[in-house]
Amino acid sequence: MSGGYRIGEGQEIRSEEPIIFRFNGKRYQGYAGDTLASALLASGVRTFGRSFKRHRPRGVFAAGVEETGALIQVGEGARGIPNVRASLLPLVQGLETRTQSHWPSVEFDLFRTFDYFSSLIPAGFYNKTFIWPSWHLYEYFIRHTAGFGVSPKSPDPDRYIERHLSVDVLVCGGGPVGLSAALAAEESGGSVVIAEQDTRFGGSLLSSPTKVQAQTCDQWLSEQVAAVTCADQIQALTHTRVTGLYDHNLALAVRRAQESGGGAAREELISIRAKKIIVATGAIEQPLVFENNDRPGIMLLGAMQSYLHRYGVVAGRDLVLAGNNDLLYKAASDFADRGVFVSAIIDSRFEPGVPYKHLGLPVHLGCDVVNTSGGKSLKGIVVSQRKGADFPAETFKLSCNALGVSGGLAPCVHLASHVKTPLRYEESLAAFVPEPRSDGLDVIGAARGNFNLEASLEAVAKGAADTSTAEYSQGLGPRFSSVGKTSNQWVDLLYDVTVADLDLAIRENYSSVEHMKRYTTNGMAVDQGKTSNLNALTHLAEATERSISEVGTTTYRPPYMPVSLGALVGDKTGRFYAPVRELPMHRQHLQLRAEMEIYGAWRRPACYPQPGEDEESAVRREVLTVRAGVGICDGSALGKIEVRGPDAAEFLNFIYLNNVPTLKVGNCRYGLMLNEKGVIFDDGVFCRLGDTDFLVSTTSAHAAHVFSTMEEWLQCELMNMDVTLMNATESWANVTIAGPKARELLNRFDTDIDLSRDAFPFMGIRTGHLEGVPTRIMRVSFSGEVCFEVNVPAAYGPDLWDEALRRGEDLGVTPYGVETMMVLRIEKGYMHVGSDTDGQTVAQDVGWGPVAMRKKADFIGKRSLSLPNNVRGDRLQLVGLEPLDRRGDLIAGAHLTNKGETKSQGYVTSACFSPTLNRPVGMGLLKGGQERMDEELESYDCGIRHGLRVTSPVFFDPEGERLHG
Amino acid sequence: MASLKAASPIEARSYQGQAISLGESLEYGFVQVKGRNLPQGALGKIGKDAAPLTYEGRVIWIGPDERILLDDRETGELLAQCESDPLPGCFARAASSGLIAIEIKGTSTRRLIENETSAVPFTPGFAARLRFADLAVIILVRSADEVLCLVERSAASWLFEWLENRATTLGL
Repeated sequence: MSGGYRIGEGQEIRSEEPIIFRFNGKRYQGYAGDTLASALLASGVRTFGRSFKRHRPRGVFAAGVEETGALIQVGEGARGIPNVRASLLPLVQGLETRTQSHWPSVEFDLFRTFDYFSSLIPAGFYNKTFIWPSWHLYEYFIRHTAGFGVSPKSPDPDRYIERHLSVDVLVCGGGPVGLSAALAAEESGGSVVIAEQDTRFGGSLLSSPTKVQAQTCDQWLSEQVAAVTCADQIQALTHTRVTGLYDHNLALAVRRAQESGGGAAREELISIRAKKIIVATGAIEQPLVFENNDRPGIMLLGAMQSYLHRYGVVAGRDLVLAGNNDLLYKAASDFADRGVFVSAIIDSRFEPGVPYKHLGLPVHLGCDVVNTSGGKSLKGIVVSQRKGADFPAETFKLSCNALGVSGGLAPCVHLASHVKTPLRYEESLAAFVPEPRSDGLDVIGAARGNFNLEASLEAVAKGAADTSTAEYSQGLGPRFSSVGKTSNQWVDLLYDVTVADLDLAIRENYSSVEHMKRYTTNGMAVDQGKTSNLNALTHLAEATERSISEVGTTTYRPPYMPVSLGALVGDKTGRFYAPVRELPMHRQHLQLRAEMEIYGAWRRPACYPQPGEDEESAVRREVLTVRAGVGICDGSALGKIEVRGPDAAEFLNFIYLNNVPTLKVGNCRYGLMLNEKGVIFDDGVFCRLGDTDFLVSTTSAHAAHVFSTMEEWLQCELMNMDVTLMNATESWANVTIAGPKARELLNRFDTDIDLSRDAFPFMGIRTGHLEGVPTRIMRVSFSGEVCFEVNVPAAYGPDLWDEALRRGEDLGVTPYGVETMMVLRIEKGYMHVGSDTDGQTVAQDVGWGPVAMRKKADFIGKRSLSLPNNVRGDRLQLVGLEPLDRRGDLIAGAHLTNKGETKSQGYVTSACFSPTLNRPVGMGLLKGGQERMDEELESYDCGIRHGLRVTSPVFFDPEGERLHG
Repeated sequence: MASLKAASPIEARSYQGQAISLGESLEYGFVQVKGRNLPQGALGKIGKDAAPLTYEGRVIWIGPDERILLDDRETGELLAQCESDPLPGCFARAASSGLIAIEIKGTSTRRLIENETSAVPFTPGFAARLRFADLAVIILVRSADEVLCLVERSAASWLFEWLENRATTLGL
């Protein structure tokens, strides 16, 4: 399978499985196990995209999450994903990929002209330039040229899933140290999860094989992996990247589920709660900074090794290695072992820390790469020799088509930093290392700054804290070239941030690290500065004559890598976004073709349009039927709280504004529940079933909240009261029968309850049996009509509903929905808490002041009702509203103003066209409203004014004769 | 004798996957018992270190003041028994109409549950009310391959669909 840039089989490659894929419409072949980057590199592709601002050609720069050049658009349409790192994208049959950020093509990009005018578009230019005459003049053009890739515009058709794990130990990173740590934790008797973002465990050993504990790399690794995957107490997760650590040892990880046997889900979001978290995420190689250091063909040294060992791919046939540390020599030896010709090593130090002469290579010590040549790929480099203070003394050119660069390793401190682990700048490593912690988070191995594998493994085996850092022998040389055009020395390759940009920021006094970051956008791209932050800090420190410790770091925040919105959402989409509760008679409503809507957490019928009816006409018909005949409504969502015990009356007397102990058995009373501020919290009806037995009917949306509030009062403040609360909302179905013929309909059922007017008056409650099942019937009304709220065990609700419609057919019975109910209650002037009240409405504002003042016993909110603010005369008070013109509009939410004025006097809270009265009616909260009856005002909505009159809120049957009928 | 017919929000619905099946269990009726004086030993010998647990599969510990009694008899009998021999300071009420039992069976039962919550130890007999699918669900582990989810009636249909969807997504 050798050929092109493929020099043999890598560890990952399964050559018997060729894979055909497309890149920019062109057909390519790779193999199973390849990534997109390795397959394209093997095919000789060098240009993988264009840079963000200056549209310079960019190639593969890394082999992992730190990739800055090969960001690819994958897939089309709803499954299209921008900014996918080609180095992490597994090759699959039929994969469709294309480059991004160019026009018209990656090979010929007209936006490249920006590069020639780069001096006009330095850092922050958009903050200064696009102010006059208006940002919007430029917005369209900028939005179409900026950014990477294309986001899908249609819903994601794939499935995502979430999962929760609770373990003793979470090990982040499946490299050699992470594997050892997982096994050690398991031996200690704990449950362990080890998460590795790669397709296999092994970490750095996969890219840079080396002897481990006197064993060959393959032998040691296979033993460790076998032990981890076979251990009962270890969940070994590959394809899983831990993207963030949070308080109390919570970690979020994303697993590529489809590739790891995770069923039909594309990705799985895993919440892991661990007693201890071990961060073994290794280190990230840092690049060098020199002129034109962004050409395709320039790659991190470790990445070159990775492509060679894992995929059998060489980055170029004429290879030069440049750097400031000893990794150069090990890499050169690796390449030589695999038959790859390295033409030279450029070491910025004068003395390397390892022997090198046996390599037989030209080694240029005390030299820096200061420039490169080439167009869409590297053609050569310019090297400058350091000679003490006489720098640069000599320059020379070398021809090459691939340059491996290494500025040393920087511990991957991101995860540890998410939970505010202090960082310390370690001079010997020229990098930040995390300080030890003692609260369930350990950072070990290279992530801790210990690049000596044997020493790290020894520390893990001993169970000792790995607190050492391994210095480079002979130290590190500089990462920055001191000559060359700084406007072409890239620090952040993804966002086109150069040394000149950093200098400009400093000149303009953005010398705080956080300011510099935001002014230049350094480190703000999708790689979050994994290869740019450290170099930017180094330059900032030098330029401002501070130490790097003084400069500090920017804030590391989750996620460590971009997380798809799909993974975050999981399967909480569409109907699974949140639980929706269905009424006991849900199927009946569907069969009646009800217009179903969500009210609070409930799916309820708004109305029941008949063929040819729209919602408005259906509501009109239902209202008129209820007023003239009979209608039935599913009121099962109403809260039903049973309050029992010797102190039940006293308890409710404290909860409700009304007087409870005077309520007789068999009677109900409408009540207001306030909060401590006197603000109306809920309203409802409390019913006395026995001396010590009450049933409280709350509003539908507030049932759970009222119950938990009552429990809180009982458990925290009223502990001495002997009361038990039981939420029976779900146990009872409620069929509300309303209208002048309601009694006639209910009398057609077999019941042991006397339904006559005298035996069962308005505001009464009776218990008994209906058609042989237990029932509680309440004579309360939210419609202003004779009304029976018939409660039966929820399982019998559907049959009772069907029977009511069947037995009432000759009476013209109609089902009516929530919208109809709202019209009925507005006509009657019944307040709806939440619509006609807001977060400041107190009892006095809705006319309940006298009731509150008469009550001697204490109740929630009593003292607050006396506060000066709550007794002001100009408070927003509930009033009725009717248009001066009977055909005029009344719109809920419209402002109320004095005639000809613009200052708001309140607003319309509820409004409808009353089919009964044949005119619009409504309610509103109006400043000092109770003293402004018959006053003429205006409503103001979206520039339109209507004249209206302030009235009593009761528009229909003000004497209440009908509901007592 | 009741002339009204009883109905369930998920009756006649079932899911049969490769490694899981879902359906309604009509095996039990439920009685809720609540009261702050609920004695620990009255409804089962519940050790202070062992809660939450079931006692002979008949009592689910919901909280220090609350139990759900499971009974394979008509709950009316059980309720009558509770009411005729009341525990001082405690009250009982029929809860069968308010709770729906969804039965999950199959070799991947544990995977389906653990995908959503890690708070179920999968010890046969374990029962607890916990947050599951953003709902308060009582989970009763009968064996490694069989779990009952008791959910409020109004959310039963939604939870059933949710379980179906989750099982499909997981390929169970």
